[in-house]
Amino acid sequence: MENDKAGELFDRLYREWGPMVLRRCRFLMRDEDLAVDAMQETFVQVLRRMETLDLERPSSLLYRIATNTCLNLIRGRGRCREDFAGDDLDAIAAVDENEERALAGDLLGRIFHREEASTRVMAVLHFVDDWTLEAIAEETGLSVSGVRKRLRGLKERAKGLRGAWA
Amino acid sequence: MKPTQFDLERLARGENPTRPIDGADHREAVAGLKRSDAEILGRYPVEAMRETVLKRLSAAKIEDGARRARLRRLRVGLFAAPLLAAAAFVLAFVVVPSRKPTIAALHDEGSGEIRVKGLTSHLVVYRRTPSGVERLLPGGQASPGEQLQVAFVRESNDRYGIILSIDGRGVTTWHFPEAPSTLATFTTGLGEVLLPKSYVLDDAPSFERFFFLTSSRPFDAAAVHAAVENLARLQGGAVSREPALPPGVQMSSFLVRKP
Repeated sequence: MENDKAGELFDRLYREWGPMVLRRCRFLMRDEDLAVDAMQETFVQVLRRMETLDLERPSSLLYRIATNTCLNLIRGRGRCREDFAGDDLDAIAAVDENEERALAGDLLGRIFHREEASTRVMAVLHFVDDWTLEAIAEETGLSVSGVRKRLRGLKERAKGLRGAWA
Repeated sequence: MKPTQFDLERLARGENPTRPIDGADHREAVAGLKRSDAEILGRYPVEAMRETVLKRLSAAKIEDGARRARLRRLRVGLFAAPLLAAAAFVLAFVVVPSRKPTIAALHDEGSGEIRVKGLTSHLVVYRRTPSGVERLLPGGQASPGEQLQVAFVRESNDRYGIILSIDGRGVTTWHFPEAPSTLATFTTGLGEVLLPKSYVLDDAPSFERFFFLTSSRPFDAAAVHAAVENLARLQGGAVSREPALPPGVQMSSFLVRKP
């Protein structure tokens, strides 16, 4: 019964947003197999918490979960991506966020409940995707100064991060 | 203002972008995304993806359960020390009404559940000493007349069980549950559970060996009792050999040596 419900939800989400998620994963992983793996993992993460998530308009949620999933995979692979070695994404993925330690690896819990967006995800949006601080602030519900402060803290911990902001 | 990829994704789905963007300026990009949608759904059809994702979901749930169990054991472990101390206090001050010729009932309080970490179903044996209580190691020594408290820790799947012991005279003693040859159904939480009674070792020679026999399904307690009795009668084999148990019944034993 529960699997039926999860299957129905997956069908709806995948048909509408699956391609968007895969494109996101392709962009970050730069490998088709890894991207498909990340896409599947993104949906697994959503279905695990389907009872508590607001999935009426899930574009933003899926985009951020996909980003975070890719970061975790990149980090887990120990910076093995030769074509990406040393870039901003690797530097961000390697950052050991305090908030992640506090959540014992369950960073998604915070994202799902919109209590506090992942600084790493914000860093990818800003340094890799060229989102403005204002756009990130609007997306995460934080103030612009709050976003700036958190990104500055992450940048200090992310060796090799090339991006800069005023 | 240049739209982000996410802005374009939203436009392609008829949603409002994060920032105001003129869709007309990006008609080509949006059309490209829609072509990409069709290509992706053709290459990775929903049916195939659904099957894989649901399998991964099931595996993830199993991992979640295991992680919760580990956390539960950790929490239980944190509270174990003070509870064990309390149990030791109770054990150290009980009165001993003699009740059986071989192993006497020591007290009749409630089960006195104590929670500590436990990995597989096993027994724990405590010995009263002049200064308090000490936990015996398997194969540890205790003398006739000393008081022992037996406890069990069950693995979560083991919902049924009995506890018996055999001694150096070939005598089998039923310890748990109260009624001989009946099966205990465990409804308590996981962790260490003291038996309702503690015992005084008699003068049977050589050893007392306790057995914890468990299963995830109901089993014939009388038959298992008989199998343990057969083992008890073996000359020289009762210390280390296993009884002939029905399928599905697991055995854990704890040997107490006598000087």
